[in-house]
Amino acid sequence: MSAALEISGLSVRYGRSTVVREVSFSVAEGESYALVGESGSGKSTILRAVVGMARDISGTIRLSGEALEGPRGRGFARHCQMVFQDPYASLHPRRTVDAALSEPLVIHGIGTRADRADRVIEMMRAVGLDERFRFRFPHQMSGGQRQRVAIARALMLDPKLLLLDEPTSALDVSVQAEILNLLVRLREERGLTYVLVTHALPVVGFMCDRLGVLRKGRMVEEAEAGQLREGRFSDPYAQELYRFSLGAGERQGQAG
Amino acid sequence: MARLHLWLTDDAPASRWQAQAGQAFRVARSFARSPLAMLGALIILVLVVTALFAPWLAPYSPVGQNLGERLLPPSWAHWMGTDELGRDILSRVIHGTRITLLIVVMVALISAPIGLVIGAVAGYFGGWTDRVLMAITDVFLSLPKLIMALAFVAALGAGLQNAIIAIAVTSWPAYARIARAETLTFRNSEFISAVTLQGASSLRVISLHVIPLCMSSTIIRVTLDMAGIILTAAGLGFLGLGAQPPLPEWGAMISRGRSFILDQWWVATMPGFAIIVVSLGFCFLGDGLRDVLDPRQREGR
Repeated sequence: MSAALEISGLSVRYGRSTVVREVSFSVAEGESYALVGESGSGKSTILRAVVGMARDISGTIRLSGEALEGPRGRGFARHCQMVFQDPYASLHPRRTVDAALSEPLVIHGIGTRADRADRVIEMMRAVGLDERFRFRFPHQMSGGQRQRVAIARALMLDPKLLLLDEPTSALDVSVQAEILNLLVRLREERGLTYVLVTHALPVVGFMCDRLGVLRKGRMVEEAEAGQLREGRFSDPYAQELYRFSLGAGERQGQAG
Repeated sequence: MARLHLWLTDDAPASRWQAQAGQAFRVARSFARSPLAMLGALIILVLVVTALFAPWLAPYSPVGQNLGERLLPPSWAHWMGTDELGRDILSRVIHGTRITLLIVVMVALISAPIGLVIGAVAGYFGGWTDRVLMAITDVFLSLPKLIMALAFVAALGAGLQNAIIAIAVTSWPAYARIARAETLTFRNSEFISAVTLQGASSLRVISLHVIPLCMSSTIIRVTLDMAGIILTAAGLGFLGLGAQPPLPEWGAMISRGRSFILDQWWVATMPGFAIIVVSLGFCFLGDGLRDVLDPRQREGR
């Protein structure tokens, strides 16, 4: 079986500076993989390269064995979706929840009007949103509720691979845990593959099987979640990163 | 009434329609708090009603001449006096609202969509598309409006229709600029990326996501520009290039009254007064709309 996502020798350039250098990793079907690093390490850029938002790239990206090139089409949209970091920026300010959630179905010509309404309600339930939020505008909701909408929107097309770009870092601590629990539950229910970008190691320990540590655009170490819990890293930078988030990691581990 | 209010302010609307109505209600409520905006809206309302019912409101015919009653000063029989052909000026001003409204509405309907689409396309695609479209826009922007309108009317021939076309051609570049600037502020934002990721075509993104967000600033600008449009139309009328006699166009009426402005001041003053009042009305309305629609003031609500 081919990997859900396989990246080999990926380099991304923004103008004259190279942001990602020769990064290779692969994520198995059903796995949850984390890309960890401080800001500016190129971790979000890798996701942007996968979805075709970064233009100047070299190397290959394979999605279930198929190499991705050029603009991503509709087939890609049904296979892979992304949840963005900032729920305040990722929802259109003038569209209701209903409009945001039914749009992917309309674009792909799925179902009749009534079908789409059913699917919207069903998905809202799945992400723990009450039905009365259906016709609200983003400004009438909290950050956590917005992020639930964003997750629901990403799942409307039933993708196999979900790219999560720091899905909780813009949220309050109490809401973060809720969203993380939701993501864990959704993965179990739907058999999703996750690629999670984060700078918080506790989040990785809570919901990922493997992780890759990035520094200045290079992958310095790949590790299993078990290694992370015990803090067994071989690379000095990865150890440093672990030490800095140690206290938080233990607390999160008990909570999870 | 109380139930309607509850329905509009429901925080869990039951349908798309109720959500939109509730949104409109909130905008209308904050609009009603500004007295100047309400004054503007009132003036425009009066203008529209007058235009609709002009034949019933006007005491005399706007074109019927009566040489026995030439150049009469304002009196109870002729509230605004009569002009050099004995026509009642009040009736002409009332009928003139139709022409003014026609010009304003037609120009807005022609130029705003053109500007909006060009600006949104330029801003969304960027690169060469942007450069070419904005170069064209700049060429139009670089010439004074009235001069360019004059040139167009001179080429197309005098008349109301051509005046409308000429004014529309000269006023879209401003809207294109605004729409482009607005588009640039959110073209790289995540909600646009998200919908692109769902496989939406550029056409869909521009028409359903980009343009609705540029709409409010364009509406504001169009409303504020209406005063300018009226003045340009009056200017063309004054120069004899707009509406042709005997149409009671306000600019043309001022131009007729110019010859005896010192002895019979009312002939030129009354239509001028109408122009000022209506222009002011549009300015107030535009200011009020800006206060309620401007996204920069809606942030965080």
